[in-house]
Amino acid sequence: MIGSRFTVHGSRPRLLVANRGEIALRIFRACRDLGVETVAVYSDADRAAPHVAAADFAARLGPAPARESYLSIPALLEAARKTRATLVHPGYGFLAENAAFARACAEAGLVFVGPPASAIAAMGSKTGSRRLMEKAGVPVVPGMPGAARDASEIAAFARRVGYPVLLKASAGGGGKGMRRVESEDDLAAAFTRVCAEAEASFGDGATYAEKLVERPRHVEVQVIGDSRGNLLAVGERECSLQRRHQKVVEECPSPVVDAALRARLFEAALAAARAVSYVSCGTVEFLLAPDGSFYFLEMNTRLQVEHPVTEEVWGVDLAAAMIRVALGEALPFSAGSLAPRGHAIECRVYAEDPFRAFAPSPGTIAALRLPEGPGVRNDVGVESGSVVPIDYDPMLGKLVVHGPDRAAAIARLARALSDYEIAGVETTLPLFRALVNDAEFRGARFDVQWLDRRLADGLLVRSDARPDAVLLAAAGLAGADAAPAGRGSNEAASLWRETARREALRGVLG
Amino acid sequence: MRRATFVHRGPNGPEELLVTLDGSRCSFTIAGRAEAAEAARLPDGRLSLIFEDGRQVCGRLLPAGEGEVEVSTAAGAARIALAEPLRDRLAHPPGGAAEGSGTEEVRALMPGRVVEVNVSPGDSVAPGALLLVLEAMKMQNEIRSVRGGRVSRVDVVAGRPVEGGARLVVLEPEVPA
Repeated sequence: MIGSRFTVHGSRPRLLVANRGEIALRIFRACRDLGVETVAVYSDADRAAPHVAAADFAARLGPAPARESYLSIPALLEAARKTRATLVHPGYGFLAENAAFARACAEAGLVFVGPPASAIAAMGSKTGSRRLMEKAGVPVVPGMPGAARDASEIAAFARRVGYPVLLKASAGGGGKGMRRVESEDDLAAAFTRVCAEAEASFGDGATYAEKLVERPRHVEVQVIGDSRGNLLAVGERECSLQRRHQKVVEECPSPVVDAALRARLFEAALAAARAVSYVSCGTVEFLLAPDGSFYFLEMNTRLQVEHPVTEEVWGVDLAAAMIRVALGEALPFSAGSLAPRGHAIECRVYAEDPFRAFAPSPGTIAALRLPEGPGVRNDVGVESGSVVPIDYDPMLGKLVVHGPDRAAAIARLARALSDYEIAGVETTLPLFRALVNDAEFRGARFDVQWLDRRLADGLLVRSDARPDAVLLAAAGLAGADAAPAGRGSNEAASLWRETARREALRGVLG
Repeated sequence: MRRATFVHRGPNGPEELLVTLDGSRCSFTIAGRAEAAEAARLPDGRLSLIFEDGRQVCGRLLPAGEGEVEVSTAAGAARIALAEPLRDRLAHPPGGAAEGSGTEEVRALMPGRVVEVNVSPGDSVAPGALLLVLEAMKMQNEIRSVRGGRVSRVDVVAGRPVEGGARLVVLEPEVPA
């Protein structure tokens, strides 16, 4: 074994990834690069999963349901104890933004590879983080500080920030108890209705108003800090392509952010991170209005799904940097040493059927062929023969392409998609194949609601099979050349003869 | 040498597709059009065809629903309604919504000689009914109706040769009395 940069008295750090799938494999790769030992955990559904076979150590957590396995803090701490892990990385999802888990790890003497529990807790509260951001001078969507007593209070607010405004039930969530108001004429009636709805749905009629940002884009800034006070912004990502508020395609850089806007975004993101004394990888998400104004949305206190696009463009290994920072090292790069290069695009490949309202498509992967070649990266958590369980998020992996500019990256994406084969389960690949041919996507003319609108008006059309595919199918059904080409029984015999001949020659030339 | 007949339901409605295999050589006849290709099974289980003009297509076949097969190629996966005539009839029962309503022209898949003609204009035929027997490549092929209907034309006579793609019989949809 190659020595580790962290070896102290012959013992290497040992990192447990409290996760599964592609992100567990991604973090294991970073560990291997650093000489850190790897520990996998698994539920009963995942004994044969690739992340277990890739690890130096492994421990069972419990039955398939996440609550009894990947979400069970006692089971995870027991696994860490049993495998003598020294660090715990939460990945994303599951317990990644659970302050109690970060605290429990620290109390068990484990290094949590992530931000301090206090930062997770501070950013985990919608109202608390908003107040914190206002104090730190980070722009937030203008809103009333508390519930409105009557419609005239909202009218005064709306006159100040401009219409349209959004009435929101203070106790609401998930899109419930919200109403858009276009003008003062509609305000009184809308206010009465939202109050009544809120009272009926949440037992609390308190209602306030926010400025409505129309057709916003989702732009986020990657930050990373160490425990020595260094904090950096490592580019922004464009994540406007969302289906029902779930990111589908992410890009770096954002095609609409220029140098001046980028500087303002970085400044706001760093102020947000500083406000919670941030250490480790994190992401500050913003809503970007068409006029270039932007507003703090939330901070994700973890490594994100879409981190590879930043890695490709900025030439950094965020997963490895996160581990080094957790081990007390300084950031392995500085603002001066970083230079972005080209454009990267990530597609999240899900086991979902885009032709059936993106219904999950669990099952066995009958065949998997991944695209390769220049500018193509696959972070994938399954292999041929893998079973996609129904118990977890159906993301199979991420296809990431990189090119000198956005047009070149899209061309590479189209090429990679034509080489990508997953058989046995339905996937979101047809969505990406449709996107690369879409004029508005190619022109980067979209906002956070664009994909839902575009899907509703027929982005995805099941096209007829090409004539050659029909002939291929017919040849296959008719039993064309059932034996693999060049592997007939006679040929096998002649291969043996050839080998014997070569062996004999080697003896002669010896 | 092996021969197989399939029914393909594509944008042009049901069409008969004849495949002849001779070693790795495949000949196809569909809608009066003939194609030939060389076939190879790849080590990973995919099938590759190289047509006479050099174009290559490669993909994997997977069983899909009754009367269907899924083919994944570089253009993505497509579900193709393609099956042997009997299976096709099971998957698309006559009288069901799947039954076409237009005129059905039955054409010769390849040049040959008409051995017997089993229908006359005005006859009412069920789906799968024997229309005529065509001898081609030293084999007697039963030409059957895909959808059924009323015979409106018979263009051939027993004992006479026909060109590949020549129209043999025309069927009109049955008009309810």
